[in-house]
Amino acid sequence: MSSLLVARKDFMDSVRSSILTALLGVFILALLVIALGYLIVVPRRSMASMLVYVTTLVKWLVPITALLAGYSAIVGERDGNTITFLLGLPITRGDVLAGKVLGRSAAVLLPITVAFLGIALITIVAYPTFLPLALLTLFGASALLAVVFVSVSVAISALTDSPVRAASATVAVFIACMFLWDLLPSAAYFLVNGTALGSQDAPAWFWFLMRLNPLEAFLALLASVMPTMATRVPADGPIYLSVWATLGIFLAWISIPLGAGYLRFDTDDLT
Amino acid sequence: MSVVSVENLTKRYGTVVGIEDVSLSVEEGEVYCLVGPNGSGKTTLLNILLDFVRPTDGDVTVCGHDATTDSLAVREHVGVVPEGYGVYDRLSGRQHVAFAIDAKGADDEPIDVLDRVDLVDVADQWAGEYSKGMAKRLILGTALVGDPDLLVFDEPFSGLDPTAFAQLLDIIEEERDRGTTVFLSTHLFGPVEHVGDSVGILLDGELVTERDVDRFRESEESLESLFLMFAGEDGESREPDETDRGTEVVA
Repeated sequence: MSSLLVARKDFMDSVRSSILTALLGVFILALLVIALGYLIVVPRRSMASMLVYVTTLVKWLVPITALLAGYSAIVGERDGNTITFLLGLPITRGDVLAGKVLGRSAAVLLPITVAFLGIALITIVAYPTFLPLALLTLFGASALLAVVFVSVSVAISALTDSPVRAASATVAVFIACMFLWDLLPSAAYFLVNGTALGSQDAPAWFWFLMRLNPLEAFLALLASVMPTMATRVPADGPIYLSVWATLGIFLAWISIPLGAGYLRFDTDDLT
Repeated sequence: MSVVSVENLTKRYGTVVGIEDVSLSVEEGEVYCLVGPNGSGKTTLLNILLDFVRPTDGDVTVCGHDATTDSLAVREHVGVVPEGYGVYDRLSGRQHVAFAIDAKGADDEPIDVLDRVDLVDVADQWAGEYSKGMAKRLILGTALVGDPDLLVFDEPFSGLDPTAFAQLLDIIEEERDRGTTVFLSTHLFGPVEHVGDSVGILLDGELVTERDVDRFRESEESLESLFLMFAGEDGESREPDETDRGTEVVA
């Protein structure tokens, strides 16, 4: 498979990139320092409350790392003229795109895995009741979140022919997911009902619109196994608020941007 | 059999013409040189062969495969030195060659390939530390991997020092002697007269004439004078003529 070949090359190339290595080092350090720090500052809390604390950090660090890891994946090769080396070989543009997603995902998943192994060690030693399911879910959800943001950023890198534009679009995606998304369901509620959402319970579709944000979907996955995760969503909601639907949202965030990126990159002139 | 067959090929970038209604064929075992000034459309033509660029109109067949719809099959037969020859800064020369070998499913030894382009001493250095000429030789090496039927070289002589320049001429001759077809572009006349079999002159996106290079070896006429006849010494190009390859030049 040529895509695996591209992935391997890309992984080797990106783990040697000093910027990315530094970033990933920061990622591992930050998670471990936060976990240890939490333990020292509030030693008597439960493991569940520590995981909630770790989650707030993961929610920031994973998207930033994944977006930075991916945004130049293809546009950088076009800018540096290496794309013609790749595509002069019997490798399709689809192979390049798939290989980039795999390679960059691996480059991000490696430090995430290391960090979580560290957290597992800390929690096993520090807490009398170890919560393997909660920790595994947090790890799995973090990995999924990483793959989502790698896919989005690699898709951006396939959709544009200028590194500056790719960087701007990546920042825009981050700001949209991190800060602006919450406005969307509220605006939709206002349009439907003519009044702003007050103290009454929001309808289920309101929560669904919220959850379309990968960061909310991430929290929803955690809430399904960690009762201490504060969640405003009713547990017995409709099917589109189920865990499976949430996994579907992740899948859509991976496939739709990459599909668009592929269609564009596959037909674009490499000039 | 034609290894490369280009029929009525046109490429426009928006309203800008890249190449206009170009037809040519490259026969098996020959070295075909596309000559023209910068911006005359040489790279556009070669890029369409490799599916880096999609044509606006016309048909291109390479090694029996359609260049646009069946590009993967084309590139299984072709070795490429593209116009921009970027290398991966953090991969070694050996890793570049190994990658090309894996991608082509070839069984070459990386070190043998590096030996042909005189990079054995720096095989394990990161290519980011290579000079421009070394990077170009590395790309040339990867192009030779898997003994391709066709070599597509876009401005292969630029950026080479005199030694590498002579080595490249030798490599092209070696490859031709093994039956490899070579399709290259250049703005230099010397190498064309040295290794070329056929030459096509491209001006402002149009193929104005084609010749057998032997004619320049036998007669007083030089490629340069032919080129200037079409391009005009002031750089203004004249109307293209209808001369086919091998017909008499009317001076």
